[in-house]
Amino acid sequence: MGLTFQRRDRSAGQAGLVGRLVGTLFFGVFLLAGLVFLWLIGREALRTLETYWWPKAPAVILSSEVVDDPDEENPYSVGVQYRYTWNGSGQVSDQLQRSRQRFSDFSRAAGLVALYPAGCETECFVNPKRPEAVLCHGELWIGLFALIPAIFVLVGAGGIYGCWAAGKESKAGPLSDGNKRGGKAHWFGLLFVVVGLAVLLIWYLPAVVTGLVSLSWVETPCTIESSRVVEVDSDDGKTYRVDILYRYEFAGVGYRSNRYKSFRGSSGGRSSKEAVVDQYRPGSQALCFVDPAAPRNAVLVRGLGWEAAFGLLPLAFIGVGLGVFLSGCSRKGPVATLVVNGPPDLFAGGSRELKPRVSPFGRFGVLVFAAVFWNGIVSVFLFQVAGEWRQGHQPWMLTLFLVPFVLVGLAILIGVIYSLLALANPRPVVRLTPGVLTPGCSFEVEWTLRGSAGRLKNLNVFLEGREEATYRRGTDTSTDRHVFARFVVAGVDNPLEIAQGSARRNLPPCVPPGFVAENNKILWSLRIHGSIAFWPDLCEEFEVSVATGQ
Amino acid sequence: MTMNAEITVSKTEFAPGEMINGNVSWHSSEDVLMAEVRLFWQTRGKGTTDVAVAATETFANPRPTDERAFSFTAPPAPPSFSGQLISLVWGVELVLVPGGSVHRDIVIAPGGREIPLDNPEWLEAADPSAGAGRLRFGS
Amino acid sequence: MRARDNPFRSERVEGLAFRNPGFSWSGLEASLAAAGGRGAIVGPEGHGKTTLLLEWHARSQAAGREAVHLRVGRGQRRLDAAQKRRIAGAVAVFADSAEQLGWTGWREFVALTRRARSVVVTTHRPGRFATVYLCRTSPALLQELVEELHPSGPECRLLWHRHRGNLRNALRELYDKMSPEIPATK
Repeated sequence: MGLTFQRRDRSAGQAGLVGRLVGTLFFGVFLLAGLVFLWLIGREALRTLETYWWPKAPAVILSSEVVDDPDEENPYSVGVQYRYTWNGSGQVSDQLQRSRQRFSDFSRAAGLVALYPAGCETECFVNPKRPEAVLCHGELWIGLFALIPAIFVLVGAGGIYGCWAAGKESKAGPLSDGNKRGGKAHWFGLLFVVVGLAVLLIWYLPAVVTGLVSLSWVETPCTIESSRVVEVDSDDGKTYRVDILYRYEFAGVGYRSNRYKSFRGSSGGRSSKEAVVDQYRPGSQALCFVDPAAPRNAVLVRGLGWEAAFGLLPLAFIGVGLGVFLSGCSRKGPVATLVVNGPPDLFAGGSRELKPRVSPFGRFGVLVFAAVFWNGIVSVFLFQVAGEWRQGHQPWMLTLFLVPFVLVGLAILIGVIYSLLALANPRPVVRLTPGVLTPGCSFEVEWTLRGSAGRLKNLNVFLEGREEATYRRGTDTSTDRHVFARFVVAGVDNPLEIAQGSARRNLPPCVPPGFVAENNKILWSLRIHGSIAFWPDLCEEFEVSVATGQ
Repeated sequence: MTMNAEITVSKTEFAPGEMINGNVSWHSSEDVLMAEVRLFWQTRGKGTTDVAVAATETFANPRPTDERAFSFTAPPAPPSFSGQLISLVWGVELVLVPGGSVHRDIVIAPGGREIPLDNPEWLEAADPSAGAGRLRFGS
Repeated sequence: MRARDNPFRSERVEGLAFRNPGFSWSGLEASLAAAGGRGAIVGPEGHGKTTLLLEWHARSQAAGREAVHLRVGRGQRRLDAAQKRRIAGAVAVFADSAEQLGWTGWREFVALTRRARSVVVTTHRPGRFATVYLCRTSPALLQELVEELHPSGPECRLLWHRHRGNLRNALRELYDKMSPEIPATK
């Protein structure tokens, strides 16, 4: 086989009917799931919105307390009873809002109870169509969660449309093909940014602020009323959280709280939660930390815990999303419709710092985005199937259907790991003198490796020339490549020379200059390759201009 | 309609900057409305053909039977080259309207020699990234 | 063997005349006339649709008709402004890969060409216009083409089957087979 290097690059796929049907099925699941959840959330939001048009009626609170339902994941709710007058007759209701809210945080339920103490006179909102009343409207922001199933609907509908409608072809030809290939996909990056920001602002930052502020809260003795481990069921399986209810007195007023630390939420590992609960047995005395500005807020453990590291997750979402979005936005136009000598002679005679063809961060970002997106969706079905098998069912059809998706997901994950590891590789900064080469010229390559260059066992620098030929007929486009020259510029294994060095080389006088036409190209590039044991090798490629001697 | 045409050039290999002198002659059974000579390059090989005209010389008052001289300066680029996937070939073409065209291949390259891309001495090393997609163990 | 000497290089392949057992230009023209001047050349990829269309276009031009050829790109759902200008008022229109046009794009195309005497399109599947020719290939056809390009060409039966009748891909494989092997490196 020798060194014939031909990489067939079909920029236009051949889906076929079977592929389109499979794609429709795949995206149809997204669409259906999204529509179902959109309807559910939308329905709830509409129910809450309706109360804004209900007329008011005077009401008197008969009783109000926090109800503890230990069998529920979110055990605390508000138990309230009130009497109201409507159309001249007295009615009794126990609805605080249209949908009963349950809380994992005792103080939130207690806060609502404090708004409606027994005996107080207030107003309620009455449904004019049937005997129903609420004390308050409820939280409309829940409707924002409809964005999440909306994304699934968009992905599903867009995917089905994409299956049956061919993708856009760049009309300007292969020179702008790669640049325009981002298309509308970079808008998905923006979605990732939105989701990351939402998690950061709604969950992470408030918890971080509380954690930091709690370091100055007042140490106060408290009595443990109850302590247990609560099991939380989700699509990903079971997770656990501690629920320790304690009472304390601050400035002569009694309070109750169940907040353990600043970060709320559940996680895997029941035994660690049981160990915590064992430390806080019912009836025992403990110390809590109370916010003097708002004594209803208290924690048993103050400061930031290991959960603060979870902030990396929304930050990763935002970073990856921004990377994908911005790389799609900054589309470059074609270098030229026909370039025979290479770029203008701006750098001829001088030296030039070379830019890598592909940014490793860009590569990593795209892979992470793909991995999160793909595996996030596949994992839902995977856990479903695993659950079925655990229960003794044998969903062979679904299992076999999932196999290719899981394999693709694994391949993407391997790619993510590989490119992540490669991110830790040293980054070469390369300078070429002169900036534009000519056949027969003497040139110098200087390199500096930024980062952990000591890990490299050797470093090789090559000047490579290759042919690229694109064939278009009908709707078919394919590009073949062949490397016709690979000149060794440097090969070093001395660590000092690896980290920083230079090499001089003469370019043979009879090499072709760079050539770029619509379908055919002669391209030159500098390739840096370094071997790292038990790690992805350093592989970077830089565009080089070779002009004619005249 | 019948047409015979011929292009003769002083030689077929030129270095950039050299004068490309030649003659064209034709014999057409009908009046020729337009006659011109073009210096062009085109690619041949596995990819779709790219073509570009570098220079044109139009002959005034062409007769049905005629003979004209032409002269071009060989451009500096692109040079004639030939690889496995792409060859770039220069040529001189006579276009007659009506009638058609004939062309003759020439070489424009440093030293008048087409640049071959199949020089085995240019491949000094194996593809360094041939195994780069895999983590290496034990080395 | 250098690219310019490779018998299977693109301009030689594209220079092959369209042929098929039973094919005749008179029959094709008659089919188009019977379809009211609106017809489709139908067939899978690499089966000669574009070749036939281009030859038909060239014949039309040689006959003195104002014939326009346009190529619809992959994923191009509508004609662009330049393409619309070209076909408006044309006497004969030859549109390659018209199946790429969306519903609106196709309606636009039909409206813009309503005054043309003949409109011929290529599509992968029948439906848009009446099928005036169905492109099919065979191992024998491939062998004939290969021998025209390279008299001592290889036997093509397996090649035809491997590419499922796609002559374009089969000929591109032969291009690769004619390319030299690069000697081993130092």
